[in-house]
Amino acid sequence: MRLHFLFPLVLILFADAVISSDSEFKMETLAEGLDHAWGIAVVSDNEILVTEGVGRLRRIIDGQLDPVPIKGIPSVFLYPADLTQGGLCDVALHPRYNENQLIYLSFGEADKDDPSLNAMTVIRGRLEGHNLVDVKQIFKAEPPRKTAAHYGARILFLGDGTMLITSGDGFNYRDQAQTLDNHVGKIVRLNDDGSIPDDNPFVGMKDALPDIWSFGHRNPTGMALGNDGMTIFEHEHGPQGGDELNIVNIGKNYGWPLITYGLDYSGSLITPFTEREGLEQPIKYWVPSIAPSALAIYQGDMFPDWRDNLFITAMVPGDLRRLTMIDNKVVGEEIMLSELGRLRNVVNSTDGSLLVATDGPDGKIIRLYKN
Amino acid sequence: MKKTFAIFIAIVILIMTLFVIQTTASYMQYLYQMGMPVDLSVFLSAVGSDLIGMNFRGLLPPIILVIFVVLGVAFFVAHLILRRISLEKKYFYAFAGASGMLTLVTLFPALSYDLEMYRGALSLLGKGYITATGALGGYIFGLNLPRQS
Repeated sequence: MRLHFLFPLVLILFADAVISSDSEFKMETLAEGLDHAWGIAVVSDNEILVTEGVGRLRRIIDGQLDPVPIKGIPSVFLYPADLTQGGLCDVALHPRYNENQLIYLSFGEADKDDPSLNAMTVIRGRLEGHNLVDVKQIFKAEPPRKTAAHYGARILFLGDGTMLITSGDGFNYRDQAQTLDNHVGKIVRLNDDGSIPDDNPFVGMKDALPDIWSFGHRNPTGMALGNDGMTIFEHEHGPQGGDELNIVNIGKNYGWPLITYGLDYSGSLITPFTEREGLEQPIKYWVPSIAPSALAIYQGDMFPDWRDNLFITAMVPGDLRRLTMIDNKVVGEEIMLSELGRLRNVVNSTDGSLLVATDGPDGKIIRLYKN
Repeated sequence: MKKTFAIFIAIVILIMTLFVIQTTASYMQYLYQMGMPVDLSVFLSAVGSDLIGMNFRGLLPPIILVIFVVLGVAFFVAHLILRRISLEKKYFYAFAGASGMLTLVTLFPALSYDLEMYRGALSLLGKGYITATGALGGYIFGLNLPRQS
């Protein structure tokens, strides 16, 4: 009796089910005392870069946090005292980092003309020992805003050497996510030197910024390239409910704030609509919110069962989500590390382990590994 | 005293309703401008949803409670002043109500890193409308106060 036909049925039955964790892994703390760890970049088997929201770039070498931060980091905009958003955000390595030692940093930067305003900015610099040199601004979100929230600020290099940068809606400026003359609620695509690729979707279009890749985003803080090298996964914070996991495609509109599965913080409807022709649907959404903070697609061999799974760190209530995918559809969700509190980031390490950053003024970098 | 409290509660409900309608209207106007299929039934349905949502589903305190506190403090201060100074009640309570609501829509963003939690108050026009609802509430309150108070 062939029962192959039952397999898809079983998958459907368990689709989106939250399953309990039975994966066997161990944890070790690589670093602690990090003041709002945000970005992580794995440089080599024995070196990791970590950003702290307060504006420091730190090194972990051979499992030890270097007490001396890297010098030459521009000053960052720190408005909220508790630093839940903004400050120094992501760090990314140039695809040919071993040859050129170039790194990219995203952060909130005070406006030079009007210090009450700030903007999400990306710089490129070369790491030379304990110094960042040859610093060059390659992106600044326009227009600058008054609020210190919803920066996006995730950086992702694609296979063709170009980079995507997420830019959030700044909370008060959500309506601008639907117009193309600004960087509010957008994902932009740049060459590694900050110039604009000719094949961007809105190049040459009147009233549209040529660096825009996709639009209609809220606060996209997680982005990862699928193991096929083509699919771009992105997640964004919804309002009250409606956090989304999307597959981002060139020139597409992801709907914010015309459609959403969430409510405003006041409890009012932002929109009564959840779908509309021409507006992309998420491949998964969360109600209530989980506050997704970062996304990684497992690439290693240490945990064969995790291969191609999506890992999302969540800040509410605080855990790691392992999403099982089939044909770019989420068919399972496992909640892990729910004892660690708010989690800020997750990345692959070179040896197949996962690195997870906890949030807060005493942040840790924790390694998940198997003996 | 009972009658005064009943009038006050009725005014809180009135102002809350006007506040919610304005919040809904600000969203729906934007959606309509962006070509979303907003018609009267969608608008009315959204108002109904927001009346419930802003009182029971928000992360912020229920809007009726917020307005109760704001107008309660404003009218109490006005009452104390009116015991010492002879002014036309309806106008002074209108001023107090307007001041209370203006404080709400300006103080709230100041306390939350400039984040505008009440969307209807994002624009100057919205702030003006909400201030005007406070004035209306105060005017009606002053007009209906028993003479001896």
